[in-house]
Amino acid sequence: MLIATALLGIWAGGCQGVRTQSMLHPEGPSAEKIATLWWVMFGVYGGVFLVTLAVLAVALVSRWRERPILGSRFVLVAGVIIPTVILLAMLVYTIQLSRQMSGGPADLRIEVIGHQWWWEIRYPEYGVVDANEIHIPADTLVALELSSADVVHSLWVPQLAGKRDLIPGHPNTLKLKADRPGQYRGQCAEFCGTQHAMMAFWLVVHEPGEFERWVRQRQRAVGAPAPEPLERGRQVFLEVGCATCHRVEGVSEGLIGPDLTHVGSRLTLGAGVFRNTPGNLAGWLSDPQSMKPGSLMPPTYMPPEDLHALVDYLRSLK
Amino acid sequence: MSQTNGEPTQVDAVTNDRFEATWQSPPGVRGWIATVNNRPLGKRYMITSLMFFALAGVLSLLLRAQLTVADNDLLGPEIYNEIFTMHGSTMMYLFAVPFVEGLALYLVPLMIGSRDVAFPRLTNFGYWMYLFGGLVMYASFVAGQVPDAGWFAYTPLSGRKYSGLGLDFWLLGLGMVEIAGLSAAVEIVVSTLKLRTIGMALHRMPLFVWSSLIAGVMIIFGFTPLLLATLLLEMDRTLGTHFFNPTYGGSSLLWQHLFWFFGHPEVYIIFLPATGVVSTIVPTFARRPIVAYMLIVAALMIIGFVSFGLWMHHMYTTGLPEVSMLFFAAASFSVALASGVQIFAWIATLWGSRPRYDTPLLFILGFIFIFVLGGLTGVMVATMPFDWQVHDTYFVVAHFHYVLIGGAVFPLFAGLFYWWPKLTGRMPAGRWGKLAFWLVFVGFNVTFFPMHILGFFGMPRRVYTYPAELELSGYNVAATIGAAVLALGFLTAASTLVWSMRRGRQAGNDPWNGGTLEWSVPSPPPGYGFARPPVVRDLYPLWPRTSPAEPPAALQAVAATLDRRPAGWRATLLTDAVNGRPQALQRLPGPTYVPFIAAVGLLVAASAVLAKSYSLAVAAAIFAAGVIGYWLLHEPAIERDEAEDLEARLGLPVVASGPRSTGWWGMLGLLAILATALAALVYSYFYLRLYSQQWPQDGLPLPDLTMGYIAYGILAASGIVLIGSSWSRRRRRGRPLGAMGGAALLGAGFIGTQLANLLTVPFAPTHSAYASVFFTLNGFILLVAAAGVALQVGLIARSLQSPEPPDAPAQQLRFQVVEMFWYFAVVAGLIAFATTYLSPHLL
Repeated sequence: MLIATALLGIWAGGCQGVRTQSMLHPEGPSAEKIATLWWVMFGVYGGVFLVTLAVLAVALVSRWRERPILGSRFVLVAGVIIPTVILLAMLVYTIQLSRQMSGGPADLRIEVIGHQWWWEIRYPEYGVVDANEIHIPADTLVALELSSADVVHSLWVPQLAGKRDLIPGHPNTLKLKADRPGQYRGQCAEFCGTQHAMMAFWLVVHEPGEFERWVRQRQRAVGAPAPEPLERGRQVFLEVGCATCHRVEGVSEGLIGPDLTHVGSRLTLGAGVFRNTPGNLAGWLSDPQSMKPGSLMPPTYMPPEDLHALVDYLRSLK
Repeated sequence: MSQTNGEPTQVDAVTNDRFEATWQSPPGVRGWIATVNNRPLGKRYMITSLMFFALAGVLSLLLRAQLTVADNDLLGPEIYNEIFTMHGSTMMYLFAVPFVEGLALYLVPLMIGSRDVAFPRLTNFGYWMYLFGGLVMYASFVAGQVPDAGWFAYTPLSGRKYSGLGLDFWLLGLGMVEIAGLSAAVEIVVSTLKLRTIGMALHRMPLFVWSSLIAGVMIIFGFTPLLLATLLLEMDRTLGTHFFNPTYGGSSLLWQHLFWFFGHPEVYIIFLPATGVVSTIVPTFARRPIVAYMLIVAALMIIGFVSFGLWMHHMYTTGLPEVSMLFFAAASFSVALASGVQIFAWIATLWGSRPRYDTPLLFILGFIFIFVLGGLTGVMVATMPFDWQVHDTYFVVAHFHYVLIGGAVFPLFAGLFYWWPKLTGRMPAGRWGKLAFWLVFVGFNVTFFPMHILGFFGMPRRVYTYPAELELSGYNVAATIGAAVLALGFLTAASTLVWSMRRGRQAGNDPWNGGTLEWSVPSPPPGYGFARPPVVRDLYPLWPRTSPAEPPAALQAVAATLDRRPAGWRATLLTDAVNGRPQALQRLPGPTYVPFIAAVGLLVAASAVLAKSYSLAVAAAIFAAGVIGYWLLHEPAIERDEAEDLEARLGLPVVASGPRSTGWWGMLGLLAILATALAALVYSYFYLRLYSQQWPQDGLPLPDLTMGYIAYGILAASGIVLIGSSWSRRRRRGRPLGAMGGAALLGAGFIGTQLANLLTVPFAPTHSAYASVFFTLNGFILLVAAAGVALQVGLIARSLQSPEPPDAPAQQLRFQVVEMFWYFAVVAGLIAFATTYLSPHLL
């Protein structure tokens, strides 16, 4: 009954809407193998569960006997020998599967640095710095080189691969590949403090040609000098303190918060949490603590016209 | 009944009254503080831990309320993180292990037929340490600085840069609770080995006792690394050392290794005694002996041993080499097999037995259902690639609640309902118990089953909220509704148990027709448990005998002689650890305030650290050490006349020494703890070294080998002198006391020289992780040496004050334990020397 409910639940869950953070809706070879592994284990171990309960039920309903009719031999066969056969078969299967998973040299190297509570993304081969969005070409093996600037984090994009920790002082690598273009949600999976829950990101998969275009766009700094109507916004950016923590190429060199050189073209604000709309941006600038309590971004008080100018300026940074 | 106790001997009324009075605790609050009896203290452990269980349950309801719908802001992130930290910490540290220990402290003596445990004052001390530790943790709410780094407190998040004072409450409270756990563990292990009644050979020992024994050994080796890790982290936070600080060469992963070396066995420390409960209740309800007793014992041992090789399970996502997968898969499979053996042994025992479906059995059946499911998801998460996906998601939350609630809380509630008549003398009401079971069972599954699916759909653990776009609300609503039902079930269970204390029908000695010794004594049992040591020939002494042989008359005579004897002081019988032959009497202490005062001293020390007044902390710790010294010197009194009389009639010594005595085994337990701590420190040293570019780090000079040779040379010499003292004591030649004085003098010389060495090292412990581990490892040896010298001086002073012949058993034992300790100190010192002085020169 429970199993049936489970099946129904998973099936129903799979049918409604788009599961952008589900390991059972894989979009890459690594996640696909793990999903297959799950369904195989579900079948085998689910069977073990049902058989065990059936044996227990028979034991309870069978007729009264003075002495036990089953002895150590039954326990040995049912508890050791049969499970050993099953577990060995599963072990062989798992090892074969994971052999296929560790796939060769990567074609693209991306550095991911965890911060409380956002992701710094660097493309050393292209000289591009970004945050909270990982862009990769489809059908290409990508190596994510993981490290942390503060505490332990863990990078997890369930539709593409299992997770891997970002540990200060112990560098790690996670290799993954996406089958086709799309947007996949990822999230920090190791508890990292107050806003662990709101440390998400989007992994954007492009067609290879599209990816090249994206890289060229990111290699172009548009921050300074700003065209006239936006110059006021740039002044506000420098005056109210944004520049202390944030970098905009050619404008400021802050290193504490995410690089904002291309913030205008990001999908989200606040590390994968809010859609990047003018309204959300204005709210985020004036009162980040009500949107993401505990965030290290302080509130900024400024007159509405300054706020508008700042929003316009930041949205122009594409 | 009569089979175990033989024909009652006539004991005159005077002796009877004296015996009763001897075992009485003082009335009122005084008795409450001073009692050392295992049963009131065991009960108190259980009640306290159940209160923490209720508290943690309330916290979990708050968590569920926050998580019911997406983007909820009922609690907010700060409070949510505090509450889930306290929920996990309370359940793991303040409920599960203490409850299991309390149950074992209460039941083990009754099941093995002894009058008390081996170290009654330690029981008292352990309880107070546990209570104080729990209070320190919860005092964080009063201070408004609640710990918020999770029950696992990963560094560097739990370091002083990222976490506030709450973590200090957590670490100090936890440290005290760990000391309590270690005390109870030594207690249970030594009692099980030495205090089993006449004829209870190892193969006649009830399975609950087996499981407690193995869990006790596991606590010694598992809790010690955690205790050490909490101390190191607290030093990082307050003194500025850098064990876990990556900025100064420390390693955040070192904490994970030390933590999970404890954390994985921890699950089995809780689970094994729970299976022991199952293996006790199933035969009673099946009305026949357990099937495959030997296989179950082997399974328990395998689980106990292998679980120490599984800590990496929790670190699959930290990037382990994939070849290691084979090793961990094999290890976890052997745990799966050992669990399978037990499941099918219970099924075979129940086969065709047509059991009566009373509350305890219902909880057992519910346990089998839930535990098999949780065990199978356990095999799944042990599969490395699958774990990469589900690690730190709600799938794992579901899995371990299945294993811990299903695998431990269900059997513990079965045990509560089963032994309630023994604890209180009254039967719990059957109908309400069954209702409680069904509410708990249904509520549990509705709460935790959907969490598997939540994990699949991408809900990580320890998040205070989740976005609506993930479409997780449906499963979360179900889980919250289930949690309410579950809470109602626990409430029903608690009320029916409390209600039955007043209104339940009288239980009598053996309401379930159980076969083990606890059912042979009145309910509730008197302070001494057994007026007369039972003579055991079977695994189920109260059931019709399967072996034809009557116990030898000599053994019956020993039992008869000890009927309500000794009357003037507390004592119980010591037997051979393997075959249960009588060896000697063990005198036991009566009520005393000393352990309580020592615990208060340590509480003051912990509070002083929290208040950052370190001089007070040091003073309080020294005070506590002094009280413990006084405690060790104050041996329980015996009455000469009765002792000599008993000695003559029993043909057994009234005081034992060597491996016959509990003191010898207790010292072995202490040394096992210290040796584990030393091993964990040496491991930390080489782990830090392995991940360092340069060693010593940061261009620090190599340690001065000559000075090291001199200091540790003196220590080695002192060990050699002590060998001489031991030799002269055993050959009854020369002056053992004088030689020991020489050893103590050399020990003091070592302490002085090494202290001077450490003071002249050209860097401070706060310079880097290398400096921290160098000073800590050498400092650990200095502390051990200081304790060893104090023991030697204490023994010498005592012997000069009240001279005793060196071959009197009591005096022999004192020499033996002091020698054991000092030999350990010397060997530990040489290991530390090889690690900190030699290895950087050689490797």
